[in-house]
Amino acid sequence: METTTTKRKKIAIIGTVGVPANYGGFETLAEHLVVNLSEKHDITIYCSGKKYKAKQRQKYYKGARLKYLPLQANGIQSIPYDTLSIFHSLFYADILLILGVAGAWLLPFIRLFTNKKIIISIDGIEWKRDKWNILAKWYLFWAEGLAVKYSHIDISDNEAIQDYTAARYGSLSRIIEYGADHTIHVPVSEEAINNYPFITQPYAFKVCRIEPENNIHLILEAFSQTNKMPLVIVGNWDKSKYGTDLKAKFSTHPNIRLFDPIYDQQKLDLLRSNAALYIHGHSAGGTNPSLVEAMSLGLPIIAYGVSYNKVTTENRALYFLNQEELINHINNIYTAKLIKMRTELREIAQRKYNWLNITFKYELLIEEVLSTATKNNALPSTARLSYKQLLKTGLAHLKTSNFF
Amino acid sequence: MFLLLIMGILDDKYDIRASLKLSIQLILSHFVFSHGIRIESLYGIFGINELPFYAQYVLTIIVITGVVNAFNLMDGLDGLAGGLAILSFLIMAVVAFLSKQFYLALILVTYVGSLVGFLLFNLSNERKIFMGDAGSLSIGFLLITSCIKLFQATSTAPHLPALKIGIISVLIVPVFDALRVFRKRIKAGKSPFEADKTHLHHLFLSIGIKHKLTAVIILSIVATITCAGYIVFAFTGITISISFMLILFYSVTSLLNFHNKINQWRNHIKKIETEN
Repeated sequence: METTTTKRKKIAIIGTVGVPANYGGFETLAEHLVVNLSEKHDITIYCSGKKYKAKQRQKYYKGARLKYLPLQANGIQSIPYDTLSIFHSLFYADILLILGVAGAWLLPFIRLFTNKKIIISIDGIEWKRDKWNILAKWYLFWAEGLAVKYSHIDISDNEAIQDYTAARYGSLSRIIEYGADHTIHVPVSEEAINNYPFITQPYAFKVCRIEPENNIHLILEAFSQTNKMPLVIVGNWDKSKYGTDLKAKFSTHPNIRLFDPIYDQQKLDLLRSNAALYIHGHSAGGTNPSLVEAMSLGLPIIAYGVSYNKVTTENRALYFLNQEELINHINNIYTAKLIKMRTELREIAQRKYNWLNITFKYELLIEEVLSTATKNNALPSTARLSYKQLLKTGLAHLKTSNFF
Repeated sequence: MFLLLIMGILDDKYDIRASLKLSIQLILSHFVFSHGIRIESLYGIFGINELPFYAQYVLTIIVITGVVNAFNLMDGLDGLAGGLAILSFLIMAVVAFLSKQFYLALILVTYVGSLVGFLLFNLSNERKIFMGDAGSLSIGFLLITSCIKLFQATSTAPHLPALKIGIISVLIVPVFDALRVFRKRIKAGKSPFEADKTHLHHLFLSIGIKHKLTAVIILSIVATITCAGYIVFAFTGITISISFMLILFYSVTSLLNFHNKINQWRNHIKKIETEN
């Protein structure tokens, strides 16, 4: 990778909980962007004062400047959080890198009155997710429209989402996924065996937020009906009724172990990297960081058969759409298949989902955004010609091309 | 008033050609006009007052014919046209009473009574009856002619200008819904009379709200617009109140359209997500 020769620019990263990363995909991304890009550009990251108490706060972190806001970065407060961050950044930044569409209502004004460049990542298709109430869905649907129309470049993390934005807006979204090579193989120690006695035998593993759209109930039911290997799930069970109900129902089952959230990266990777199988039930949200991390660790994967997961794993994993299919896979899986999946999925992760690669893609986007004026159209220019004229020249079929 | 019966019965018995129906309506409007019920002035809306004679004639004919048909378009759900008629007639009856048009008030109240009886059957399951074109056209006709008459009557009782708000508010939903739908069809290149599912009650149905609930919601929208109109009128003039009521109406329809768009995209995405 050749070094690029852009001048030093001021970049503001907006919409994450903050760094040091301890929350989710966007935060890990922000951290790696800082590590890899802060030598070339001046980066400022906006962090949530609610998650970083006064004692933990720093002025600088790995070369990036940190600014704290007294608001939550997620939920309803994300709207003022993003808005204030964007507004503050207008005073010094050249490029705004916005993660999430909560502050998108400001974008038309920014385009109209300033010459700041905007790169926005629209996350998964947020407005569709069941966890939001109707007002939130309306706002997010509208905000997503603004985000795509008024940004210079918009990023989706999955091809399936790129298809959707092309269908809805006719514009070309860029695909940049997540890296996963921050996860490590942790060898099993004496202490580990004491804490987790199942760790010396094959077991299936899953780590995720406990939400209905992650199909945890389906997975728990399936594993309670098989006894090929135990299932270990790490997640925030006590955060919702859905979680507490499932915990009450399944925690005593001999084949199932449920754990509360593990924030220590080492401890989590200990359980994760020594598993024999990874189950991924996510049905939404584009490219899930937990999935690419599992791929990077070389775990064989059985994933929910939604288009995003298939694209992420390049169709090389096993897929299920209901309980029967999952049970079938669990019962019929054999060693050769497991080994084949491990190698193939790890190869994909090493090729695509490494942070050096991902941050380099961002670097290229930064260079590109400094020179573009308008957004790329997903449809060819022939789509804009008048129908009557095309009819006369015998080329009317150009109007009705089906590209997707 | 007696002319109503003739037209209605004729229409439902034989399926009359649209142009013939239209000509009958125009003739009836002419009769109404020649009996003295006419739109004489705009009473200060948009600053216009007394109208010249030809304008009065043309405007009266167009408005009567328009509202009669607009009301007919509202008859798309059980209980909707009936409920709307009851609500409108009640408001009009109050206005009539307060402007000393007792004969008209009596007629309106009688109609309310018969409509209640009608609704009893219309909303039931086993003994269902419909009002048909006869019903909706004649009710629309009664509605608009009473409106015009009351406009004339309230202008002679200048201490009750607020009554005009009531009259207008009952007309806003049918008329502007029809106009909105026509505009949308014309913009899409189709004939404005070509049937599609974009009227107000269709929008509610397509988000998944059941029939009876839709009727109730639409009636409450009319009631809300009326109240809002009165409140705004207490602080400002007639033009602003009318504009405000229109804005309210259009916000409701925009929101419904928006929600429909969300549902369409959600289905589209579901298809993309689960295809191979």
